[in-house]
Amino acid sequence: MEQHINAQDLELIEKYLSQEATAQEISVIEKRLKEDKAFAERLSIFQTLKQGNEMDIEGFRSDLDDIYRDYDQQPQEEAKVIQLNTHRKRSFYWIAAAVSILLLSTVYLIINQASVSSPQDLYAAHYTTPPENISTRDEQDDHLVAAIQAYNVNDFKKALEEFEIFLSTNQNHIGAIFYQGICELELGKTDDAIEHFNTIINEGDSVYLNSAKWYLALSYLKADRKQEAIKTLEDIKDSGSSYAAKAILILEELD
Amino acid sequence: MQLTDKKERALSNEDIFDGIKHRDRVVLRSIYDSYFPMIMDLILKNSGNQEDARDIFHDALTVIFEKINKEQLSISSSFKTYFYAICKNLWLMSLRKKKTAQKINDLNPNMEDSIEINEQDLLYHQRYKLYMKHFDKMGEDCKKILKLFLQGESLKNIAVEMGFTDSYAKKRKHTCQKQLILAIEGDGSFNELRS
Repeated sequence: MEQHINAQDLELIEKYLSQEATAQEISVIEKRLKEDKAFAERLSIFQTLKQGNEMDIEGFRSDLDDIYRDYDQQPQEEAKVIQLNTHRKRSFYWIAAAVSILLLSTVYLIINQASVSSPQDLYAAHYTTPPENISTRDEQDDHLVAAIQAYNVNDFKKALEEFEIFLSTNQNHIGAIFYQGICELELGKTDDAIEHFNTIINEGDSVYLNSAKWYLALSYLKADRKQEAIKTLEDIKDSGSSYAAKAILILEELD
Repeated sequence: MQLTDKKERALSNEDIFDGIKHRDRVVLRSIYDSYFPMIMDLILKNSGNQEDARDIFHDALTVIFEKINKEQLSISSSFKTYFYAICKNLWLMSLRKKKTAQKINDLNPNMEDSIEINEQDLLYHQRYKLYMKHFDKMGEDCKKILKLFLQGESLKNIAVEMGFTDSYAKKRKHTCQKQLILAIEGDGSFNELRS
């Protein structure tokens, strides 16, 4: 049997959580927390929900869902191959269907040659500025702090100036090089962006590696360097990273 | 996020935790790319499917997100080992709940030798999920009122926002709070997750 919930208890819980309880009320609450398990549980429910709201756990989960969606869109080539091999009787229909699709696609492409997406269109369709939040630690360089602050308010010109000053004495700072590249891309300095994303890729494994490959591919699209874009997108596709599904999508549109 | 510097520091625990705390998508993607296949393998070989793997992966990251937002988190192992141990423990809890298994076919038995995962961290997250499950099921009106209450809005502001009189806002808020408590306390999982 559930213990009765009265309005006085709810008000006491509210005051406690909003830090508006008087000293006398706090001592009552602390006594109740020790002696009344149901009261303690109820306070804990709202306390946990309040903390979750403050941390924005739902927002964090939503970020993860977005990244997962990129994963989930990756075609499962292996599964399809197995299915074809184990259903030999149906293979004729598969082949017939594939040939039909191929013929139709060829006819469609001949008719609609002019409508194939241009690299610049694909860049515009797929480019988004990463990420939403950049924070700073106290011990960081003043120019790096200024660069990040400018970046966070989309002042890419100022951010780039500050990143460049910072990098003149911190040449190996991969994070700063990555965002320097993004600023350059935003400001139309595409060749510089390409150079800096390549620098990160040449450094090998890092947090920024897959993102640098993605933005390098987009930079090539923007610069109308189609073959290099395809090569980079193929590499992303083969890496199986969370950018792979998007890379496949662009490759299909570039064909 | 925290910008990381040299290559050798690029994947340090500190940087990863900082990236999670600030919801840095570059870091989150990197965690996904590095560890999702490993966790998917663990779940698929232990009676789960891809959706289970996604849920466990997200839950484990959320456990870390909650913990680093409440306190300084410092671990002696690699992030990979720590993360794997959290996922494994969460999946074990889930299997026990379904009463399908008591043990896990561990794919990396040596990886978590020295890892002690605080069960309270996992339970805190499970409780939060249970509370949110019932919160999400409430009517739009109640959800809005409780959201404002959780944001620390005064009764006056809640009344204005909802278009209620002060006295009706107070009454309605209490009704919604009671409704939520009763739904949570009536859930079969509530007793198992009690603190």
